[in-house]
Amino acid sequence: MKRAKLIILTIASAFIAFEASAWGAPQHSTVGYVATRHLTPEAKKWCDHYLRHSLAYYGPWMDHIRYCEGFKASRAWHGLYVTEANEPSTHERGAMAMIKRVREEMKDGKHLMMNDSIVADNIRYLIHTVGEIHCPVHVAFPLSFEPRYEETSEFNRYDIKKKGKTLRLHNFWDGIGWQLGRRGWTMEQYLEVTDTFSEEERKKAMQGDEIDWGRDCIKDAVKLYDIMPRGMDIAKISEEKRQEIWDYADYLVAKGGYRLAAILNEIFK
Amino acid sequence: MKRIYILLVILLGSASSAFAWSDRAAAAIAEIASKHLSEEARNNITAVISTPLLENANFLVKERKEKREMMSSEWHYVEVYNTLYPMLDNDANAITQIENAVTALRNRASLPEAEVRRNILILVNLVSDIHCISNIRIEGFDRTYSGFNFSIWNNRTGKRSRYSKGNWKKLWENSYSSRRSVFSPQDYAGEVMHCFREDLAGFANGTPTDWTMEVAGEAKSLLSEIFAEGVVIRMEEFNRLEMFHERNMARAGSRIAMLLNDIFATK
Repeated sequence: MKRAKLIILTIASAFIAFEASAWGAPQHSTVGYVATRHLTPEAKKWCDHYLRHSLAYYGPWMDHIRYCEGFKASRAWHGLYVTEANEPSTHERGAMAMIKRVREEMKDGKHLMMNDSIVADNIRYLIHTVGEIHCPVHVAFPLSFEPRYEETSEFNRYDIKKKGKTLRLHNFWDGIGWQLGRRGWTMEQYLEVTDTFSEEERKKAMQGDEIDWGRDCIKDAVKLYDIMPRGMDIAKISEEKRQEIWDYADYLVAKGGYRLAAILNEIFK
Repeated sequence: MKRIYILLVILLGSASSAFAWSDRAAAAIAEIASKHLSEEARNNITAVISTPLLENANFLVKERKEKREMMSSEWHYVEVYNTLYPMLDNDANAITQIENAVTALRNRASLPEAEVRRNILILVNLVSDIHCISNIRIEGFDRTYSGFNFSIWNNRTGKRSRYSKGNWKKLWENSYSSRRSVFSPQDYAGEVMHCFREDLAGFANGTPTDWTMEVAGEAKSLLSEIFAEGVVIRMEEFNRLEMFHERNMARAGSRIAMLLNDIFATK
């Protein structure tokens, strides 16, 4: 039996992809796809000029380069850190500072003075990071935050279950499509369930700057702990619960997409 | 034991498509070709193939699953001399089979419709395949015949350092297209066409022998400079090679269209 298992694992290893997806990759790509639909013609033109691919294509890019030479600083930009005062931290370690820096560096035509490859990298950072701060497990609460999950690190990696086995909440969100029955979905399918805001709701979501969005993301992230409490077994949830989780995730992806469009529209105004 | 048996069946089933590009990449190449067909070629092809080309991209692989075209498993590959010139001593290679399909299609007036369809789809499948780097077997590089493993380092040190298993065939067949799992073949084709928009017209020239030699040249330089048995590849390198993968998709798509446009330009 042991031998049979070993053979299976050997064969399996040849067919499993190198990388697991993040937020996941489908959600990051969908953020880019949603954003593309709400770019101004001017922003679309410039994004097209600087990138040789679509915003959706570069959705997971920061996960591919995070440990590569020249990009290691980007490791700190995947999370939205929350201060003791429950405000988005603007410390240089974190997504807020990066988004602000890119906005300030490039807006008012300043991107024209920059090297094209730097502008392209900045756009790619925005695509991923604006999506990332909308992923509730990428909102890092201080350890004093109530309810406390201090034993599980600042990213609230408490455990849920799948078929009775322990599953990190963070890992669930990293592969939510795979974990919750949307394996094989295309971006068009994701688009149908995300880009659904009314014009008024969309405008409201796009208002403000990264700090306003960060505050909103913090409020949204807190809801996760009611929707998916510690110990919940995702293999045993009802169809209604499954839909509730997806509605919540799709809503956050849509907001990420609208806000990515907003910041790119502002930069390339 | 039953679960193990089911897993084995699934894995071996998925292995049967491992003759070149993944289904997603092959379909995207067929879609690129479709987008570059002349109206005349499109009309002629639609008259014999009712479904979009992308649905039949890995034609021979699908046929073998249905126990047809059982002699075709070697047709996906080309062996080349160390000088990169193809060895065409027997018929079981992609170039000869492409040329056979082209000849048959040029004389299609005497062929039944099913044979015209078969030859179009063989052409689509095999022109794609000679652009898949791991489908070129190079004299003096035995590893290109058997395939070989290497490791991909996640660039981290200490406890978080990880080495994932890489494989030469898998690298070119599906490692990059699996990164794009959320893209439909049409979207994936759109990405590749957009990226190589200035180059597509230039790709559409030459012969299957020229194309094979071009891809073989890339394979040989990668094998000489980067890939040795058991070598460790950094993530930077792994990321950089995606451009080779996509460029060969663009080349394949534009060249399939070039051949079909030429064949169907005349009645």
